[in-house]
Formats: sequence, structure tokens, C-alpha cells
Amino acid sequence: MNIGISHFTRSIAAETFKLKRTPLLWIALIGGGFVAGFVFLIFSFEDLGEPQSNPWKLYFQIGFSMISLLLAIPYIILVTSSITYFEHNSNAWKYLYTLPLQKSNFYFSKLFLVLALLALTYTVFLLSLLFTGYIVDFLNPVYKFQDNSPSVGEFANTLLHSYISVLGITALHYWMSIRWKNFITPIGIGLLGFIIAVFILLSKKYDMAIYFPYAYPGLIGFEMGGGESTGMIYFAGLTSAEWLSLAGFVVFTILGFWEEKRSDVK
Amino acid sequence: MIIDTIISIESLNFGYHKNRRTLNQLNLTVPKASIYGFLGANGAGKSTTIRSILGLLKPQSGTIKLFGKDIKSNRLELLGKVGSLIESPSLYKHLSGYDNLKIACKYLNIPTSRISEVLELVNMTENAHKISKKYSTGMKQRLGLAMALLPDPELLILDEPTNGLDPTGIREIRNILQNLNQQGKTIFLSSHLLSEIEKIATQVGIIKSGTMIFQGTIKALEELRMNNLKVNIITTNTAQAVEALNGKHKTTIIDAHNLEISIDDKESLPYIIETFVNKGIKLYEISPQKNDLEKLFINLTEN
Repeated sequence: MNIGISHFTRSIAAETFKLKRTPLLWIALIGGGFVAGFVFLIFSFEDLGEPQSNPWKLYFQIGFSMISLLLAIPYIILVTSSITYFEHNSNAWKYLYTLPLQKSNFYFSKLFLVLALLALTYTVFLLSLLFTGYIVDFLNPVYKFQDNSPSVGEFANTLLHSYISVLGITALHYWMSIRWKNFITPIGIGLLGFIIAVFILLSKKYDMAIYFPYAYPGLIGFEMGGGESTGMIYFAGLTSAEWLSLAGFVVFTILGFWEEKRSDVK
Repeated sequence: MIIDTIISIESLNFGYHKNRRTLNQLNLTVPKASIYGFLGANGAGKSTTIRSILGLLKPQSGTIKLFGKDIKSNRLELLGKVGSLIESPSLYKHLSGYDNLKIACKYLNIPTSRISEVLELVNMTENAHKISKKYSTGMKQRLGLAMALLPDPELLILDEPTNGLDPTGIREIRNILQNLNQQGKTIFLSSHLLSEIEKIATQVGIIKSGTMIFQGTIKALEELRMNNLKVNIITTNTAQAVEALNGKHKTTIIDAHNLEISIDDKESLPYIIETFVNKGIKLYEISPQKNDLEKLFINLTEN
């Protein structure tokens, strides 16, 4: 057991080191900061009408809707494709699988890194949102951010819902990116899925969106970002989209690893 | 327990397609501390054999043992004793050579101090911090070799390590391998060039269509060469000469006066000459073809 954990942590260390000289870490940092920056610009220079009692709520909701609807899916597509591209491009699978480590280490350490980068983006988003909120007052004092307190715990909890809603698609795209050497295929499928999802959500066909996993973060964005109710069922504090996403995560991870484990390295 | 055989393969079968076997009842034995040259034409099954040894491909039947143990049930333990380089090295092109080795260190839990040792071994210290995308083919191969040497393995498996190298690069790799062998490491390397293998190997295995057609020492291969002569004769009547041999030797009529005779045993040559003389066949020239190992290899793998 200890050896297994040691192998896994070593694999994570190696995977993380591979990010050196790549833009992935920067994209993770800038992605979250960019959304917060965008919300900051809206609040600083746009007239959003009568300010609420606590401006932090609206500030967060706008950012949350943007990150869930517009950033989460393209970001996952990009990260999963890039992380597996290093291995395909270097023809590294044949080297990795001759190391005295279980194949599972490689599969799960990369998946862990993808999830960690997504978590980093969300964390940077939240921190940037809090930081920029306080600055808004200097440019547009009407909202009085500094006189109010942000509900950081509540914001983090809402972000967690968005994070969970994207897990299924993450596992699916990770599997596709490992399976196909040509990264254009998973990116193409992902972008098509994303466009269809945006179309479904903007058409407010929420009953249809629940059958389309690419729409899940967007559904959560609408549901919890101050928009209208999407009619999703809640169970144990999670929405039906989150439960389906979790189920997809488990199924696609098991299928992906099973296929990877039994496949030959030609 | 003293292990004399480092790699032992018995009746190995593998096919990428259901109805076509790439490896067919392959048998192979690599003695300890040897340099085993694994020869075969392109597509003969060398890389498939190597990938099977390393557990990258799952054979349909047969057994593969490393250090006396079955690879299937002892994969991780055995891979811990092996360093490998399969065709072109797997390098992360956006990172330097040093960083590539550092990744391998992280996976293998090896102290980074080992990096400078292997870089020194393959003469790559000076270029270690260059981005590997900018490396020449020779530098990439040497770095790949350094990666294989990182865990200080008992067995090195190298698939065409001199592929794409210029003569200087080839000589460098050869010298490195000879030094490593002198330190007691067993080296298994494949090539499609006999001229490369004969300069370095102590043992040779020749594979053709997935089956081992020769296995033994370089000396045994030399003996096989000596006994696989072809003789050209110039005579007045090639048809009569063929008839005189009475089917005992394979013959090829080149033209009306020129005949090629294959001889399995060099002792047969005086007998053949005597037969022609007795039958009154005039011989104007008898010239044994220069049959070097390369030619023998081509004969073995093409016929």
C-alpha cells in the first residue's frame, strides 16, 4: 500500500515537472484571473443599476456564470489534450510502460494533474474575484464593496458544484485524448459539444440539457449564478447534473483505464 | 542461485492481426554478460520481440523469462533490472536533456546526482542543458541511452540504437556499449546491419519472418559462412556441368559458359573439380565468391 502511494506521488511529481516550459500552468492562472478581471471591468465602468445590499453576491454570480458557462468546458478540452499530447508527441508511452511502475500510476497521476489544474483555475478565480472586488470601489465607489463582506465559504461551495459538474466530461476527454494520438479529434468533438451545449442553454431547453454532459457546468451556472431555475432535482445537496457528472466520471475513468491497461504499445 | 541465462524465450507467438503471425515459435537465449546481437531484415519481428520482452505486447503463447523469472507474473520486479531504448528515444522535446533525465529520476526515485554520472558515460555533459528539440540524432540516441542507464540496470535492451547515426556516432555508441559490457552488463541489441553487430556482439541471433534461423556465437556464424560457399566456374558447356553434378549441389546457369554452384561444405570443392575433370568438362576458371558475413546474412534472411 505504502509502495503504491509512493509510486503515485512520484508519478505526480514527474507529471508536474513536465509542465515546465509549457503554457499550461500560466493558462490555469490566467484563465481564472481573466474571468475575474472581466467582471471587474464590468463593475468598474458599466452601470448595472441600483446596487444590492451586498454587491459581492452579484459580483460573484456574474463571474461564476461566466466561468461555468464559457470557460470550464473549453479549458478542460485544452488541458486534457495538452497533457496527453506531451506523451504522444514524445512517443513516451513505450518508455513509461517499461518503467517498474504499475500502468495505473501513469493514468491516474495525469488525471490527477488535470483535476488539480482545474481546481487551481477555480481557486485563482475566487482569489482574483475577492482582490478585484475591493479595487472596484476606487474606480466606481457606488457599490461599496469595502463596506460589505464577501461570503467566501458560500462562494467556494458554489464553485465546488461547478467543479463537480465538469468531472464527467473531464474523464471522457482524458480517455479520448489518451486513446487518439491525433489531438484534433478530441478537441473537435469537445468544441462541437461545447457549441451545442451553449445553443441548448441559451435556448433555455433545460430538460434537454440534462441529457447532454457538455451542458452541465452551464446548467449549474444558470441554476446557481442568480439566473432562473433550471428545474434540476436536488439530492443530498447536489443537483441531478452533478450526480450524472460524477457517475460519468466513474464510468469513463474505469473504462479508460481498463482499455489503457489491456492495450498493446505498438 | 546463479543465473547464466538473462533472457530466455520459448515458443513465442504473436500477431498484430488474427491470421498473421509476426512471431512464430520464436526461441531465444541470451547468456549472462554477453553482447547479444539480434539481427533481422526490416519487418522480421525484431521490435515485436523486444516489445514482448519488455511487456509492451502481450504474446498469444510461449514464455518469456528474464533472470530466470516469468515476465508476466514478475513484471515490475524484472523491469527494475532492465534499462531499455526502443527505436528513437522518448524525449520531451520542450525540456532539456537534463530535465528529461530528472523526470526519469522522479519516476524511479533515483537521486539526481546520478544524472551527471550517466551524462558523463554517454559524453553528453556539455549539452545537457540544451533543449532536446535541438539535439542531433546522435545526441538524442546518447541521451536515450543515458535514460536507459539511469537505474544502473543489469540488462540493457536496445532496439536499433545506431539507427540514423553517422559513422562517428555509431563508433561512439559501440565504444560505450563495449565499456558497459566490460563492467558486467548484459546487452541485447537489435540491428538490421550485420556489419554493426559483428563488430561488437559475442552472441548472434538471426530472425526471419518471426522465427529464429540462427543462434550462436560469432565464431559459429563464421563457420556457417565458411560452409556456405558459392563458386563460379567458366566452362565450355554449363548444361553438361550441371548434369555431371547429378543434382548433388544447387546450381544456377548464369549464361552458356558461366555457372554458379552452391556448396554446403567447403570440402566438397575438390570433389566437384575431380568430377568435372573425369567427365572431360573443360574448366577455364574456378572462382569462389567472396562470401562475407553480410552476404551470408542476406542469404539467410532472404532465401
